[in-house]
Amino acid sequence: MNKNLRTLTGLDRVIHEPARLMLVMILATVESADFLFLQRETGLTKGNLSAHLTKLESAGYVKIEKMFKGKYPLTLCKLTPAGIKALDGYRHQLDKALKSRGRG
Amino acid sequence: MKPDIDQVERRVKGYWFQDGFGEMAGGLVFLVLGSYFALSEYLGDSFWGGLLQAAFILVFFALMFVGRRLVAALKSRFVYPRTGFVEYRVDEDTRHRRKILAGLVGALMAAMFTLVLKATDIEDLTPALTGLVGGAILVFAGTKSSGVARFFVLALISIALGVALSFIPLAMGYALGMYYGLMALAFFISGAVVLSRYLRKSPRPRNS
Repeated sequence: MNKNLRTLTGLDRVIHEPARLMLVMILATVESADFLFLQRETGLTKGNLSAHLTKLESAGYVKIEKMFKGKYPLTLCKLTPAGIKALDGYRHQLDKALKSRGRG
Repeated sequence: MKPDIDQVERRVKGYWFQDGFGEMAGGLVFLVLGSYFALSEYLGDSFWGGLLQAAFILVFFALMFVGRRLVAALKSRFVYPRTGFVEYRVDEDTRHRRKILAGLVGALMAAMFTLVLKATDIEDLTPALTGLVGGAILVFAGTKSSGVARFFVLALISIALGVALSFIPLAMGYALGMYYGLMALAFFISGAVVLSRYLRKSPRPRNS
């Protein structure tokens, strides 16, 4: 098997899960976003979203903070430097593996 | 799911414009600009005219400051409880670059107007030039904000208004006052339509 293709087995499984990949990709484009925004953008249920965010938080990829914006309570999620690095690494690995397709 | 980060980024950037509050604030700025030009023309070189010109920069910056606060407060009241809060990433370098670019564009526009007016001696072209520059800025804003289509319509209105006002025999101050006043109206209408559509489409969640 091609060496580059073999890197697929080493993909970061925390990010590789589609819902979490979607969350990380959204958070990579902003400074921070709140729970409601992420829920609407991803279409996940509250429970599902909460579970995925907890996994990302446990991996150190997302920081979750509860705060107020005026009178409105926010659960703010922010990608950490480790999360940004993990996403970059994931994209790099995936690119490498996909580019090697057909090269044998 | 398509893992296309550019598409995600465009969608998230477009989110800031989906409620119309930004346009209404823009309309307010245009309204003040229009009033300034019309009043300046009316007051001429009198004491009050001079005072208006001296105070204008202060009033304009105060208005920008208040406008930003107002938009933030309105979004906090109507948007965040409905569709959520997003803080956009603006690094310091980008912020500085934007300020320098805004200064350069302002200086370039002022120089261009002065040169054209001196070279051609026809003030009649000022509304057309203003409309063209306004249109170009709106096209740029529309492209940057993920192609929000209504900005392109507003750009067309700006150009059409500017050109049309150049054919009407009005003093320059009144023509510019009319241009900014009508653009303010277009911005208010556009903002109000977008806001009403947004409020209809995004009811407040029951548990908030």
